[in-house]
Order: sequence, then structure tokens, then C-alpha cells
Amino acid sequence: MAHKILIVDDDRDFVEISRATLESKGYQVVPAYDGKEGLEKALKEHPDLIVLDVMMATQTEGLEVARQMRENQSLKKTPIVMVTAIRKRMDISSKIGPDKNWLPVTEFIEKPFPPRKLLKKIDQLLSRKK
Amino acid sequence: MRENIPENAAVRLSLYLRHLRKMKKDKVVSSEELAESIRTSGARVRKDLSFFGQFGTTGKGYVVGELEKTISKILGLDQVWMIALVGTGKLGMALLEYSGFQESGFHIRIAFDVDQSKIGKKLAGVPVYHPYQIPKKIRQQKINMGVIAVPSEAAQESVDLLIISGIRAILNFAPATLIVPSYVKLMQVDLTSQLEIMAYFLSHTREEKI
Repeated sequence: MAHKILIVDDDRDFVEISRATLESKGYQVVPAYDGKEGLEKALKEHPDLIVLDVMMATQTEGLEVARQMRENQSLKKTPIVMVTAIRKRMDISSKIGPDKNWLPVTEFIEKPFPPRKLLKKIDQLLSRKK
Repeated sequence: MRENIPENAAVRLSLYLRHLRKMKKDKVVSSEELAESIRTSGARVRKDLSFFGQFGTTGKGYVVGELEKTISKILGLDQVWMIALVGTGKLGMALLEYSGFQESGFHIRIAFDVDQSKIGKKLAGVPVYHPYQIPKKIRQQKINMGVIAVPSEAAQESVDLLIISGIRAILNFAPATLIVPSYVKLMQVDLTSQLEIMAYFLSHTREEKI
């Protein structure tokens, strides 16, 4: 059965490009366009992996969504790949990354990146999960 | 300098410094006298100072001016610290108007608030911007520390923005439990909680004889 990937991002272009890339490799993609929808679909669809953007309705909405996902027992171990353009868009020099409490995600990828990079990361994480 | 210095030792250093500032610079102060000023022991003073090297003369004490300078350096007070304040309500305004911070080397350089009537203006001489500009302004102003004085529901978002912007030391006045990474030093000033502790103390000692 195809692995199910939930992509949560208000950037529809990013969602569509990622969706096309992942579906061409046999993944099933569930899109969500804001944090609330992302959380609802995460609970309803039980994805194998979640791709989550940082900046959506607010500059840091993705961080809060990731924490809420981790608070839910059914999503505690679901890999989350956090994607963001926040450093580039806001010209921030300091780096951030996964943190057990503050940023409870599995991987952190800075936008822009080629779709194959996301695909490779998802392949790696899901093969590790097997 | 040794690593893993107890946080309480750093707190006491700050208290020793406060006492030293009131004294004549060329006077010699003993560890016992310094201890008395904060109601601790001379041995504790000597131990606190030993974390940072050898000071003073055995049997005589410490020259006030020299010790003041050394402790200031240990605490990082030989430099000016730039602070960003998030929230300019009543508490935020009180912090902006308090002159004591500047005297100790802490300068509130910028403030952030969502109140449109404040954005673009100066409060107590400090420019106010929308929180959306936190990363940009923190970089431009070379800010080292953040102070949170927003309602509890806005506190985590404020602290997240400060951390993303590279701030590693945050003082929080909001009555909220905030999540920060291990590399960020978060200090909490929760006035209500402290009042509650005092209320508990009073309600459980009321019957006892003084």
C-alpha cells in the first residue's frame, strides 16, 4: 500500500509541485493549506509522514502546529519534515533546527530546494521507519 | 574559568556587586563583611569567588574597586547589552521608563506591539514596531536579549520569533509556561505565582506564634 504523505503549506505552488513529484513515485498525497486543516487531516488521515511549513497565517504557525501534533498520542512518532523560507524571507543569519521540546520535528529543510531533495528525504525517513 | 558554575552563585555575584557599588573603591572588604550584606557565610563568598579564580589577599580581604571590576566582568557587565521589548502595555511601559536598567548597562533599544496607535511612534524614546518586524529589527539593532511583556496568549509566538531571530536570553513577564530550546536561557518573572506562594505561606503560618 502506498505511503500517505500530508503536506501542510499555504504556498499552493509548493504543495502542487511536491504533490506531483511524490505521486509520480507512488506516494499518496493529502494536501492542507493552513495549520488548522493540517492538524485536522493529520488526525483523520493518519499519514505516514508530514511535511509542514513554518510560516503560514502567522510567522511561526508551523511551530505551534508541530507541537500540537506531538501532543497527540497518534502522531507522537509520525516523522515531520519541517520546511521553511523564513531565514531567506526575513534575512535571518542564525540557524534553527529540530529540538526535542521547542521544535519537535524530525528534519528541517530550508526553502528553496529541488523537489527531488524532499523526495530523497521522505524515502530515507520512511525506509528507516520500516 | 570553570564551567558548570551554579546559577545561584551568579545570582549572589550580582548581589555582592550591588553592595560593593555603595562602598568606597579603595576600601578593603572582608569575605565576612560581604557575606553579611546578603546574609550568607564568608565561606560561601570565598567559594563563589573561587569559581572564577584567585582574588584578594588571604587574611585581609578584597579591594572594593578591584573586586567590583572583576565581578562586573564575570557577569558580562563591562559591555552594553541591547534589549528588545515585546509588549508595551502597562508593564512594558513601566520597564521602558525605568532608568535603572541603563545604569547597569542594559539598554532597551526597540519595542514591539500590535497596537496600531503605537507602531511607528516612540515610547519613552524607544521606537515601536509591529512584531512582524522582530527578525529584521533585531538584526539591524544588534539586539542581545529579549523581554516579553505581552498577554499570556501571545507569549509563545513572541518567544518563538525572538529565538528564530537569534536571541538566546529572554526575560518573560507573561504568566505563561513557555517552551524554548535548551540553548536559550529563559528567566521567568511570574508576579501572580509569587504572590500565590506568599498567600500560601501566610495561610499556613497564621496560627503560629511569632
